[in-house]
Amino acid sequence: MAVAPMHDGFLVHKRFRYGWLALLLVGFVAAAFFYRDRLEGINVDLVFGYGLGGLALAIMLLLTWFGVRKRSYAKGAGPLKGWLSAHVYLGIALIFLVPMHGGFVIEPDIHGLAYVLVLITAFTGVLGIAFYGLYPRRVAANRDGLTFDDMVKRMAEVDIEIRGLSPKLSEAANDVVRGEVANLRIGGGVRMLFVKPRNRSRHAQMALHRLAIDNDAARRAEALLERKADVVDRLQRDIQMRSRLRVWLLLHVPLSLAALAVVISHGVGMLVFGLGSV
Amino acid sequence: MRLLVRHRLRRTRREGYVERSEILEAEEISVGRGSDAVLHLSDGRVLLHHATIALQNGVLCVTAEPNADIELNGVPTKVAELSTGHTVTVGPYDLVCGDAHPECDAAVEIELARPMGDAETTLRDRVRTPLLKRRLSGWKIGGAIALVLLMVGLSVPLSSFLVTRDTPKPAPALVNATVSNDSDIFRMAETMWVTERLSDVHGKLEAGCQACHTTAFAAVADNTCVDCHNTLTAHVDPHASFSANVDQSGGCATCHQEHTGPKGIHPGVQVTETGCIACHNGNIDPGDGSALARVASIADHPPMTLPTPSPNGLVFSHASHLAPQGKRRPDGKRQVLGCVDCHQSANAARDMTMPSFKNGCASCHTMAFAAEDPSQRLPHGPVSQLRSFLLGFYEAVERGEIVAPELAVPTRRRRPGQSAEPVAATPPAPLPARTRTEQALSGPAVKGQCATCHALEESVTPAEWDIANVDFVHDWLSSARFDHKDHLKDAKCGTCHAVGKSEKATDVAMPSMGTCLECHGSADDFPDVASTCVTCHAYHGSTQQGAGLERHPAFAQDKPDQPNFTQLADLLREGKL
Repeated sequence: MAVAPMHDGFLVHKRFRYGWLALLLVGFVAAAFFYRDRLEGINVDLVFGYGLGGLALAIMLLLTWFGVRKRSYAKGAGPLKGWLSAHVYLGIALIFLVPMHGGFVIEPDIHGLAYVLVLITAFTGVLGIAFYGLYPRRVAANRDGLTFDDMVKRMAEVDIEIRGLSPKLSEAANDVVRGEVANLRIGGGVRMLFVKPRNRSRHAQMALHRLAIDNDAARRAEALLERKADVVDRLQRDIQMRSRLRVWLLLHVPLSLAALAVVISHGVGMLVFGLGSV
Repeated sequence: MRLLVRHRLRRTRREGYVERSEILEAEEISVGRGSDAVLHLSDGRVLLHHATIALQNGVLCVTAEPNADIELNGVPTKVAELSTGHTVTVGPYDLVCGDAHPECDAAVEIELARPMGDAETTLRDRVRTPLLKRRLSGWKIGGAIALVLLMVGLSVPLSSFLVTRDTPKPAPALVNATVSNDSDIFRMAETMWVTERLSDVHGKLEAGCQACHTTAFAAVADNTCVDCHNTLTAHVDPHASFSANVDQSGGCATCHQEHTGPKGIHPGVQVTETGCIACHNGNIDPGDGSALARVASIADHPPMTLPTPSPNGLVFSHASHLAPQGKRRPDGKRQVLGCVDCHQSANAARDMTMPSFKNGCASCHTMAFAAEDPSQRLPHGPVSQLRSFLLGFYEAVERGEIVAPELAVPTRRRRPGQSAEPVAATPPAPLPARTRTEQALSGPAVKGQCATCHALEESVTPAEWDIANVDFVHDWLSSARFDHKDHLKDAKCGTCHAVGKSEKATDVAMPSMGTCLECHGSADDFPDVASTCVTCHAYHGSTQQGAGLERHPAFAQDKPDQPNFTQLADLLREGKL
């Protein structure tokens, strides 16, 4: 008897249930779009304008509700993983539904703004799939069971021990060690999202190595610095990856709310200016 | 073994310790940070499994795990054998071996000797994670942006109906429609709402969206269109017996869809033929006895019904005038004539003018008639006018006011064998002016010249002849719109009008429908010149369009029972349609 795997990703949740649903939806609408001239007995403008527009708005509201739903893990209908799966696949579906709703026309007006915002939000969502497929696992592997505080404490321990070694070190070695403690910077702003920051502990360790002092204290200090540099590397990787995830969220969520606002104004405008005038 | 452990929690003021005691019982007591360790030391600097405490031959032994370090009395070691007073360092903790308790095998006192001090605080200051701050919330940022966008976004459609604008609606006539002031903030905002582009005319109405969108949450009503477009006439008489067959369900918007580009409101290729063919199927009797022509498609278009030209009273040969070697002008030079030398476009290039004598013919046909004064021209008029002119002329000659120029002395032609001698000049006796007038009228100088272009007919006038009445067909395409300018982009006059071999003035130079169908047809066959009914035929009789069904005999505007659009609008309002 086949045993269900312990953990299915949100992409394969329930054997791609929401993927198939989205594919079916897009396929159906695309077929109707490409054969719209041959559809008889229905008002194509009405269906693709108000009908598809309403459907897309409903999908957008569902996608936005995920932000609420994810804050209460166990409450609400269905497992959270199902919600995420639906969020991802319906969001991708919007990339295809919205252009068909707009007839592939973008003009520099509020309708075009709604169009562009929805598409940008959806595309950042696709980027988010890659981010969330990659980073949480990497963050966990990088931490290796340690918490953020653990890593800081581990470095602090090295610092304390190196401080104890200080009386046994030569002046040159002592300068390197003290400089490392004084100058160490971990993390940072926007720059570290893209560039790996410098690891001053590694620099200090290599500087100490170049001094080539042959005594126990220096060797010990070098070994301690190497241990600390490893932790600094980890810590910086940790901050970089988590910051990237955070920045993604800071883009995706405001973009989606802005898109929703413009889409609602667009929809209200379309109703106010001519319900049924197409 | 049983091990008594005293945890020294903190020092008291009196050199003592606040302690917590526990008795651990195990074969080997594991020491570590991990929760499975029997002796649990929570500091992060202790490994999960750091060391093991066991009795070996009655001696208390602390054995470090391979990856861990311990010190015995300050000396790094892997295995520490303890006796009373010895200190083992495990990470930041000091384990001091105490006196054995009667109930236990051994006792240790544990103290966190090196609590994390400044080193950790300093390090924490060095770790900067501005992007991970909790107060940065996507929902707060996005919510603020969304709120602003929503307020701006909704203000236009709502204000469009809630705010009464003092700009008046366009005057109820298309020509008087006021053009907007683009600096109006309402207009600038409203342009952000225009789906696709408005037609070039409606986009300039001063009242903005309100000009047509008069009621919120409602489609634009036909009455709104008719308010301005009141000069249009209906396609068919709404009171006629067959008018029920004309589909009025969709109103103006059936054909006229706004917001589809600058020219979009004027139905062109987007109007299908089926709407027209539904009635023009040969089965409907308009009531005046003439059945509507049957049209199945443009390819099946019936022949054009051209007006029958009556004898137009002219003697004219296009072939002669368009001779490739040209025509001789009065100055003796030859000139090759083209169509536009005589015909110019008129009625917005729909028609071509017939040349007037003065502006066309007279440049070559000078109407000089008298040797006495070659600069004198006959007037272009009726015979009676000619007679009085000639009489006046010859009387002036009689009075000597006009003197013939010196003629060369005529010589008799020399025959072979004779000498050429001048002939004695014997001037003819002058005839009376009246006689000369009648002679000229019936002679080649006048009658002959008239007959060059005009058909002459017998008359009871003294001259016994007169000029036949001249009558042209001025409107060949009474039911269609046409633009010579458009057609001349891809064709020449001769492409449609075969006049190169026309010898008679009564020849019809209009092309047949087949000539039209060489370029015009359905969108499938002729994608470049895709043509439907409305490509050539107007649906509404409109005085604005210059051509169309208003001149169609069946729907002439002067039909008294044909209401115009203003009347139609009233009928619409009263619900009588």
